[in-house]
Amino acid sequence: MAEIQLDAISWTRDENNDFMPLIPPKPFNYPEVSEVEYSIVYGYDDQYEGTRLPGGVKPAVPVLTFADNFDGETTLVTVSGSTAATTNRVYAKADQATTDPVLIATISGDGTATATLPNTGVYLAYVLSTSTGDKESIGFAVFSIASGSAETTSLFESTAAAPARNSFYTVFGLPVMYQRGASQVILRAIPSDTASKYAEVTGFEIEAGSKDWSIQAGQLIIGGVRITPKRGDAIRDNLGNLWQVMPRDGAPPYIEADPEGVELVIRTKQTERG
Amino acid sequence: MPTTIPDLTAAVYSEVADSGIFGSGDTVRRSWLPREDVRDMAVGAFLVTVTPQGQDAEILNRGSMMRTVTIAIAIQCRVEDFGNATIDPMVEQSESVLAYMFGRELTDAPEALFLGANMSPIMSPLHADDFSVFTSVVTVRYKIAESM
Repeated sequence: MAEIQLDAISWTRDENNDFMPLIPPKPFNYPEVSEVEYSIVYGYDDQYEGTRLPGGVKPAVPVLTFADNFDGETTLVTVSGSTAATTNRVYAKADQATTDPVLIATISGDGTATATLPNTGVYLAYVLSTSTGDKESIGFAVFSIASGSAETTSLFESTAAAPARNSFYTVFGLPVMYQRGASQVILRAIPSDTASKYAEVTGFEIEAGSKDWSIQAGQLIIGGVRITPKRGDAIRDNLGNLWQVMPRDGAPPYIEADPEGVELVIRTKQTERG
Repeated sequence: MPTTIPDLTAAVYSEVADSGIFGSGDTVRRSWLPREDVRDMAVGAFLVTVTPQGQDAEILNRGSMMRTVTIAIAIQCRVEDFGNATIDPMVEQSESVLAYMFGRELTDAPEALFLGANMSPIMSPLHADDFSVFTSVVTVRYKIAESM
């Protein structure tokens, strides 16, 4: 099977803005640019095989780390493990805050930058790694801004200083991205173990990994509006897995974990591997 | 050599695969273990699975018998919503399979005589609600007369 590199040299667009090779030896169903995917064969007779997305493949999930400068306002942001030539935008918001994350650093590929935060405290952060072609990957991290020395902000101290339930989330919660359509919010969620669920219909079985996420309902704010989970929403975890909100055994996709609905348990099934 | 259940299943699979009903992004397969993980299903791409479901055998006369073999064809697709605009075309796709197979002589097993077909469930609420997967099952029945 002949292969053609799907890059700017071998491929172009025709007058209909369709994606097509420059040297087509045979009639060929030209895919749209957005439809070309890695390792998918295109054409009538398996003559072409896509070897990369036009303009880039989905970038690797970057690793985001922070090193507090202990000056009460700045931290050194490091992005590693990212795909070359990606643009890595780092967003952060104060833990427990209900405001949207703000851009604190932009790093090209792997590298470091100094970010300035408005207050001391614990922050949730994510890095959006974007390649040409608008393919994205997300990495998460938690960091703190403190003044003085490293010894004054031990995990024990920060946990003991926080209200009991908040500290539970601070210690055990993972930073995740809750998504509804194109909108999203970063928050802490405590995951359950992953269970395998399956259902059989006249001999045909469907299975999926299933996981529950405990969250604080007050953190689920998108666009300034507090929302409740519903089918179609999704949670992107720190490993890149996507968990879609779905009902289970006919029950609603979430339950209130306490009489006042302060905490929610969201039921999800895994639909994408990280 | 009598027609075996694998022979008949393969013949039904070939008919469905060559029917032209499904596109290049869809998958048509034969499987003895028709189980699929949601993570391996692309939204909007059909997964069609052909598997045998049962056989009845009856005496025709002193020297011959008749077997009735039931083959199931599952038409499945991961969807993001269950609105009519999404599901109607999928049900119509399943109907196309039934219509295509109805009364069809199997190219690879011409000795099998088409007996009937049904479509149940038209759409499985269980797979829909808990997994966001459309599942419809078309079953076709064939009879084969053989000497004993």
